[in-house]
Amino acid sequence: MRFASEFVEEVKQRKSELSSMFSKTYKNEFEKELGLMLEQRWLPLPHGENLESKEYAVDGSMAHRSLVNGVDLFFARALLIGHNGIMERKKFTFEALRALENADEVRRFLRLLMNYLEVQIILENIDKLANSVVLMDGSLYGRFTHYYREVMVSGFEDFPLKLISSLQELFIQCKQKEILLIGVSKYSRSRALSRALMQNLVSKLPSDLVPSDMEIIYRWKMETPGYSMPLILGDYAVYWEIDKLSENPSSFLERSFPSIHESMKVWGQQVLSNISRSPAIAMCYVLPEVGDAPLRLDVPVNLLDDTREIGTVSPFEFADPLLLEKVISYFLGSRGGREVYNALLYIVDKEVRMSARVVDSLYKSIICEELGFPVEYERGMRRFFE
Amino acid sequence: MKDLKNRVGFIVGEVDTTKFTFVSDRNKYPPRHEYLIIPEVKERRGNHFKNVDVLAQVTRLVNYSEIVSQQLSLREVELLISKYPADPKVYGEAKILGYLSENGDVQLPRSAAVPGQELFIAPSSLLENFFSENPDNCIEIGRLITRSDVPVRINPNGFRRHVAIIAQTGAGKSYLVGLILEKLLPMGATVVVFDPNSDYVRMKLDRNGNKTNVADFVTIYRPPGVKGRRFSDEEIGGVESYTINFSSLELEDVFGLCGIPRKWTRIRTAIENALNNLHGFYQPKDLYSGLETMAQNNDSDAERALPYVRRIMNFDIWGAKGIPLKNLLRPRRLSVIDLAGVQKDIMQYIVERTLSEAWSRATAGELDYPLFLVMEEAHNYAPKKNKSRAGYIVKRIASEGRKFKVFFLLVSQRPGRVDDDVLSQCNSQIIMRMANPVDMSAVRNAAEALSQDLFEDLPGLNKGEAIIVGELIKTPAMVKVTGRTSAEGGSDIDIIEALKRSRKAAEILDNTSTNIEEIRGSETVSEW
Repeated sequence: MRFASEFVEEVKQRKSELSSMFSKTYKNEFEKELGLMLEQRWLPLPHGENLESKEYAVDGSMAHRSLVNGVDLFFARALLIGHNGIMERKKFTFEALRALENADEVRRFLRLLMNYLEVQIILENIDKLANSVVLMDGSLYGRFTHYYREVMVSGFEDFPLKLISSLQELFIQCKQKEILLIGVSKYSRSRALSRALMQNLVSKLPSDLVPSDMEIIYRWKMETPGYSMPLILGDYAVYWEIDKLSENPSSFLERSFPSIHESMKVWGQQVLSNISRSPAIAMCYVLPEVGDAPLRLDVPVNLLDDTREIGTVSPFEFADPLLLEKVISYFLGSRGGREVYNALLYIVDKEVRMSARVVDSLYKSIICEELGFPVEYERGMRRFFE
Repeated sequence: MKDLKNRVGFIVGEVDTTKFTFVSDRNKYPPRHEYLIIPEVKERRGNHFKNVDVLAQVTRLVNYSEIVSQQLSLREVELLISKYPADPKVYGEAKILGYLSENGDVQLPRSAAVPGQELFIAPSSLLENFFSENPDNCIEIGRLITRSDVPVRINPNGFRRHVAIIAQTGAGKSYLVGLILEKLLPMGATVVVFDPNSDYVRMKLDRNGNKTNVADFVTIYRPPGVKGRRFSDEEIGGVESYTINFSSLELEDVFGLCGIPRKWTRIRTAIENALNNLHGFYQPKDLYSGLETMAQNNDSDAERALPYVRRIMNFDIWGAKGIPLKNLLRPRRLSVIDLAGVQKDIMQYIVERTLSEAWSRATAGELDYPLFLVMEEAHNYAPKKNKSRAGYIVKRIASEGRKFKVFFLLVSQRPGRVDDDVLSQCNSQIIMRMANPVDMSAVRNAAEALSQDLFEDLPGLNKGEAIIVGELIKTPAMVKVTGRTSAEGGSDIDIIEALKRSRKAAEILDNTSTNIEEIRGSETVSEW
């Protein structure tokens, strides 16, 4: 049963609604103004340049399998590579947990595990990375600001704080070792750019649906290679909590991390109160060529000799267009094409990827062998992974 | 066996009893066609297990990079390899050849190896046990293509079900057949070769003109009167005349040679009447005279028969002696019947006659020793489509020969044109380079033991390389054929050298009154 005719009917009926998501045409006055704002803050690309610095790239991968006995297995790994094979470091972690009820929390925990490994692998090798460019797959700002509540996984509730703490450490270490850390996202759900552009619009948003940054670039800038004016992200993601974080971290901790062990509370408060003093993140979107997918670049501003902090920028502000020009120039210089948006990131992504075959034949059989028990996936997963 | 220096990888993924995949690396990988050993595969026999060393052969080798993939543009690949060493993964596929049982036979395992098992380069001593039988009884015809230190010996018992030797022109068929004959002969074989291209007429001599060790067992027969032969009688160390006694022919043979169809009964009757008047030894010219006399007496049928008989009068094959069957069937005797330059219907007649007479002896129980019949250009004697004079007897021997100790070595460059029944009676095949799809398809249909991967290798074989399958050998082998001592008759012309002689002749013709015959007479051309 392919349900093709039913699908065709559905598309026909909703043609107008669907077209508006792709069309360059402005639907209303608000979109027209927003498009104009984007036009004003869309800058021509600098020439690509090859930096003299050493380059490294980090990426991670993860997998989760639920077993028939109610146990959940988590696998995460991270890989750090250097150009010309000058370095290759691996980190792997595996957790077997039981009694996990909330599927969203399972996914969140898995991502936390992977992000933590990615940060740790840089920190563990930080001395060797001095005076280099380090590329991380994904958004730095997202990693830093989206985990301010405990994860409902027994024994790992305060794990988000570990990630935030390690990121704070990473930003400091990168500054000390003169490392340019760049987060590169192939895709972003952020609406920060849209919101920033909307700040001074006369027209009001017709509904409360703020278009995503990707949508506005896709609709109005896909034929104009360039980059968006750098946006400094401060307390954008946590502006309603920023005061509590810095002034009363203990109360924030009690509320958001109620399960934290007593012995960790002082440390937890310290991590939270440091958030506002952490460097703000400079972010922009780059469209390297017509029809390509825009990439998002994140750089902690302390690495650009800018002193702005999360707590001093509320919620965001546009920066000098030249702030990220060198970063973009470097990035374009190391771009191969649509597939190879960056050589090292492309390679590390391919190398770290965890195939279902590896998980389901290799890792699973190792567990069976070592434990001496048969390990069976729950029925739903068996359909896909066995 | 488990010499870690020779370890080339590990078996991975799905393994069955016929093939497997393995991983290796860029420094250790075994090349395609290399022989591998999987030590100590657990082979189940009833309720017991026995560890056996299983031989396999690499059929495919792949260097693979997830990073430098074919979806990328040139610029992308350039950038990637400038930033990171492209370190391809190496994996391969191999087919299982079998293991040696206690009595030395090759057995196919019934149990599969296990992923993770180590793989080693097979030692030459082991390969020799797979590809060679007892050197005292068997014929060494070369070395494994991938292992020049491993001899390949074929078992003469494999000839019991006939052998087909198939290859395109220039692949080395005649060299191979000559080599087999050289080895078979000292073992006591009686061999008759029908040689339409003078490929075997030099078997008495080596390339330097010295006698070979089989020279005394070789007789070259030539029908008289053929002009322009590639090698003179002296060059090949002397010949015997191969004639047919016309007066011993059956009526049907005479009609057939004259080309008189069955329905021309009146002409046939005239010839029969003329023959009835001849007695003792007579020649076609005597038959012609008799018909002439009848024609003068107003026998119009005899007059109409004259042109047909006149045609065979000009053949030089007729002599007082008939087919020297006694000599042909002598033990330890190689008889090469040089049919080069002989007219097609006479050639067919000679083959048909010789085979029929030998077959009569065989079926009468008068053949004391095995008789090997080498039929070069077999497609001419047992064609798939048109009937040939010799076709019937060739088919008969192909289907029943083994019961009467008569064995074919059929040689052809056009197996697609050989009668299917004849080809399929050959239970062993030695196949050399081939590219023609029709011929390859014929080989595929006829050779049951030829696996798909070996079949696909046929166009890639080099000159002198062969694949042997069937009863001649324990397990299919890829061989570099070597070791023939006698000179070949069928090697390719050296065009550059021939053109040099042509230029020289042209200058003489342009500048002197010499004619082409004189030039030809003055040149010494030992081989074409």
